[in-house]
Amino acid sequence: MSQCDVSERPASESVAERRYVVAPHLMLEAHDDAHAVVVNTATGARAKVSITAFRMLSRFDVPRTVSDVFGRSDEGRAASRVRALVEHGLLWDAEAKRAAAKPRRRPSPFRFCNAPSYSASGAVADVVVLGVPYDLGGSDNGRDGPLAIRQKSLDYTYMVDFDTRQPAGWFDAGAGVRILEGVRIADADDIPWIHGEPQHVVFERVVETLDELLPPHGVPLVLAGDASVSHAVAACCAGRHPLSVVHFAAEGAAAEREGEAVTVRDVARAMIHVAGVHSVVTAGLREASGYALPPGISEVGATRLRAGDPGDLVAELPSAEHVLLSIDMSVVDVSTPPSGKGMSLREVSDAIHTIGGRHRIVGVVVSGLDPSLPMGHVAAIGACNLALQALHVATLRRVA
Amino acid sequence: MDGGAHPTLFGWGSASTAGCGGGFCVIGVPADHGNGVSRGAARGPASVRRAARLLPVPRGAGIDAGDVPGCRAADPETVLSRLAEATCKAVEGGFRPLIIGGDHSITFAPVSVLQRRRDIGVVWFDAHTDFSPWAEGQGHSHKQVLRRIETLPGVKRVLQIGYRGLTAGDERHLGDKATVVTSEAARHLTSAELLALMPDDLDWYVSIDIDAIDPFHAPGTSAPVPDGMEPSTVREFLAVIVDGRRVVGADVVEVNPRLDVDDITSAIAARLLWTIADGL
Repeated sequence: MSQCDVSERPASESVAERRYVVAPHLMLEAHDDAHAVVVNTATGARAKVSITAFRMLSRFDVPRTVSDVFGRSDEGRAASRVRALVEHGLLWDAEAKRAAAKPRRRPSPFRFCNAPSYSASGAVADVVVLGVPYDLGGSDNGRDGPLAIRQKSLDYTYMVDFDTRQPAGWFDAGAGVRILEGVRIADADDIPWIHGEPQHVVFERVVETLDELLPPHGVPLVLAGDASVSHAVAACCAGRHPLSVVHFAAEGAAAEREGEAVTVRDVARAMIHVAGVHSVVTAGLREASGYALPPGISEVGATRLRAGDPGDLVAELPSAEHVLLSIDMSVVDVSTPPSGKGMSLREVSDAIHTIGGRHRIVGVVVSGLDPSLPMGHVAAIGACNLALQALHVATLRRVA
Repeated sequence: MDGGAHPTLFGWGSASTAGCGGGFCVIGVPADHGNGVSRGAARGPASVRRAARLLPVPRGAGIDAGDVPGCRAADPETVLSRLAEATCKAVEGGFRPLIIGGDHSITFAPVSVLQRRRDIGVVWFDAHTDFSPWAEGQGHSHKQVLRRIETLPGVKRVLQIGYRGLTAGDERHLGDKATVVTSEAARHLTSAELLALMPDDLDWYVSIDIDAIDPFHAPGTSAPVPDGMEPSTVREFLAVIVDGRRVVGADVVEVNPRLDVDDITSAIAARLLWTIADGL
């Protein structure tokens, strides 16, 4: 938080003559008798100002000159304080032409595994977590999924070794190995989306934000509302390296693109048209789609994966070095007791390890979780596990 | 004791109608004070008793003493002390406590009572080791209960079965008294190997946290961990234990009906208790 000092500075004639207005997206967060904390909801930046400065700020709710507000007699004294507020970005020159910063990210109440915020350490992170609670690519309620995954992930606290200052990772009791040791994770909050926006605007924001946030070798973990978001992540990752996409989902591709927006049913067909995407394999289907698939798209059913081994999945991938993993949680059978129709968490995890053993995983998307459904809390912890296993495989390969 | 409104477990008689000695004494503990993750385990005793109505009467005899009274308005230490009193009463009457939790912190009470009478071992079915650090004066919870139990002088062995998942440290080594069998290792554990880990000169207390079982079978619990044991595996282990060792008490804890799906977790818990009662 910045401390805004509004002590008097030399007055300036130009300050007194111009009109000023409170910066957009500014919100009062807290106050007492002496101070106020204001937050810029577009950037997340906070500033603590004296209550006197805040009162001054609030008088510029519409564009006004200093003399409009303070009168000619106090104009000189007030102008220096106004200039201090302008310098701190709290007050804007109403005459100056500048585009209002659109909110690029929206704070999330929880951070994945309680890892540090991107603003604190993101520039050097190995993994950048981004929430995209967009779910208009399907008909299910997935927008609460990213929040539920982050909340449940607090069971797996990210810790940094006090002496080495390196992330400690976690001990995988089943495999008897430590995972993600030394891998720096940063959580970059959520992408906001406004109802009524066209999908392509939201997806462009995702691509721009990931481009801006990701360090050169950083791996994105995108917690998405629904699987359509994988299209945007594929566009970002394919802009860096040609790649293939392995899309775990319960249902195969639709017969053809359904409309102007990407849906959970046709995301595979949409992704194959992204520049730099060589192939898309939909894995874990409960039933084959039955449609003729265009070149570059293939399907591997859950039964085939279970009966053979995950190597069958890898055989469908060209020798492309880079793979984006898109995990729609619908691929996991959450019936109780398990009916065996979908894939178990272990089967998905095994498949991820097999892919990671032969290809470089450059991004991970986890989507399609509705925490309000029965088994939602179990699916959420399962999603956390899959995400961490996928990141383990991705960062192992990268380090190697 | 409370519990008049609930059916008794397996249709056993209530404490007021029973004579002295023999078999199990069911004690419900509707408390979840020791669970920092989620409320709901306090509803476990009623739900498990309801689910048990669908099961036949086990071969072992028993009575149902109802629930520890006043849990809702009691502090955690009071709950433990009332459960310890109820356990003492059951043991002095010649019964073995068969406890329905509640959260896992409650297990400290019956174990502390039983280990004063004779050296015992404790079998701890659980996805977690419950071995978080604890210091005198710190609040008691389900995260460090086994660490406290392990320090009791009469507890000579601890066998933890079911540890799994991603944890901060490697928890497979909990000290000289303890052996940890991970969920993965338990899949390959034979009956002979299981009994070899349980010296036969000790009495044994069996504590079952329902989260030992895979959450896709038993979702009604507050801290589920994927890739757990099959219910049938746990039942087989229990049958081997009650057949091969002197079991002086047992519990099933952490059943959370609020998070359950069609009461399936309560049904599994009831079946586990039935396996213990039927084997003795």
